[in-house]
Amino acid sequence: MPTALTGRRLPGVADLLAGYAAGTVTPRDAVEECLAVIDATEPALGAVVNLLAGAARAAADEATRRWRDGTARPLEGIPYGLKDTIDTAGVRTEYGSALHKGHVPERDAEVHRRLVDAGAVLVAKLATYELEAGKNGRTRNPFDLARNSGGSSSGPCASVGAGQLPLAIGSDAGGSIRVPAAWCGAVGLKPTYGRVSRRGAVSCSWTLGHLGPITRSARDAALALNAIAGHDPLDPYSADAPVDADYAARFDQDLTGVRVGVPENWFEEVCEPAVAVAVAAAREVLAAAGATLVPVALPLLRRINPDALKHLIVPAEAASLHEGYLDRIDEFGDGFRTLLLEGQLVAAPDYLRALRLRRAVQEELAAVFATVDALATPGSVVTAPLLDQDTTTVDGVEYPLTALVARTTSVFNVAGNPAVVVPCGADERGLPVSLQIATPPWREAECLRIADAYQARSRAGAAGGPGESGRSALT
Amino acid sequence: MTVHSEPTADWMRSRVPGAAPAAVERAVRSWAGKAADRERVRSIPLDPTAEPPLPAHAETWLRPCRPR
Repeated sequence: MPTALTGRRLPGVADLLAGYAAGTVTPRDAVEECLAVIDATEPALGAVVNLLAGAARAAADEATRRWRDGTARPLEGIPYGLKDTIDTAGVRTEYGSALHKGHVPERDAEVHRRLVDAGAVLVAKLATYELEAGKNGRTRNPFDLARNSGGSSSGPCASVGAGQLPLAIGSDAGGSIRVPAAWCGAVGLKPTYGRVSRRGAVSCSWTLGHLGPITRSARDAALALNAIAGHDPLDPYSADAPVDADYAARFDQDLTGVRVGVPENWFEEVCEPAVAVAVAAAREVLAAAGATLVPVALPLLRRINPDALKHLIVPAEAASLHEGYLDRIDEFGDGFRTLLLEGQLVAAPDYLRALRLRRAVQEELAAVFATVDALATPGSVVTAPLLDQDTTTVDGVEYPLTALVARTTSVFNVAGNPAVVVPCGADERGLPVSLQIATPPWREAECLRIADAYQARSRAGAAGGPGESGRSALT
Repeated sequence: MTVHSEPTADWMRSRVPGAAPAAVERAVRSWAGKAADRERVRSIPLDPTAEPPLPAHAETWLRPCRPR
């Protein structure tokens, strides 16, 4: 019985596209390889909730024909998975909830439609915390099956981290793409709020929720973003903002002239030592690529604690979003049920105060981004905890895990800025450590360019594994 | 449990009558555990001109029936 499920080195999105173009590999080959890895790693990993092998093979054959005919689209034949909060017409989509067991949507989510239009091939629906905010008892960490995969995009991140798929789409209302990506050794991008349509995806929060790609590299995330970014007039939360023609267009591994902010407050005030060491080393890699490291102060974050805002906003919005099911409250799992009940207690002035304070957080970040181009922080201040672990000790102080898991991520949901995590090493147990890069709103291209430069210059940045500092993974 | 737990539980039960007693008790404990967060949010001076960044655009607001 293996204790870890990493070590498989399936090609990423860019490599597959190059292979398809060169004729050295076909979409059908790639899909068969994904299915083989899924077969070898499930059900131990618990990332896949609905395998669509037959439809994927048919779509891969069509994609293979298009490559042969010269009619390939931008992501033609790229296998991908969707978090099971994202609707797929005619395909069971249960939102990780027993209450929605057997649900089959009538329409595709917009993000899925755009991927299909770009030629990508849906292989699997992937595990999620209940309705993006409860719990998920099935998904394990690919680096240690006794450990937590993180959430709520557990399935997408564990799947990409284990090498099942080169691309998955997750959602993030406080760190739900970036924390599991950090713990599972994947790259996870939360784009700017409103950049990617959320129409057809269930959420726990109107004002904090985002969709984004999980991949093996920043370049792959850029290629995915090319397909899914852009205004959706039918989604009231989608922004009508200009979209880059190619989010990877400026990838050149040269960061000369780029000012990278190193926060003096909040982000590393509570941080496992191995994480702090790896992130500091990662910043030096950025400096070696030409970036200038600039200390920056964010004193308001410590005073506010972005998680404190989230703890008012998410229960209130989730309780409203799902109020139609309150008469079936006991059919929810413990975690989501508790959230809905807590939502009944949020006073309207407190909720509105939390929303109004977001402006103050945005303004503090905007002031910092007037002096630097990006911030470099830990993706998570802790590495993956054990499955039944509720607390963790940092520098001799015991903390509830819930107080630490989103400490570095939720601020960018509160403010709406884009942020990406990339693996940047490992702790003493071989568990992935991650670097987070955040930029001003709409500058995903710069965010991904910096992450790509880091990955290109560091073996530790290779997704799907913690790199040379990590232990050998079982195959 | 804090001294305020019974009124809190009563309010929760009044809002969601179907919730099991154990679920209410768990939610009350969780809510109590975040009391410091709420106090922190209430203690920050707020710019009186700061408006909530609700994402609804005027265009959306004025379009009561969006086509599907």
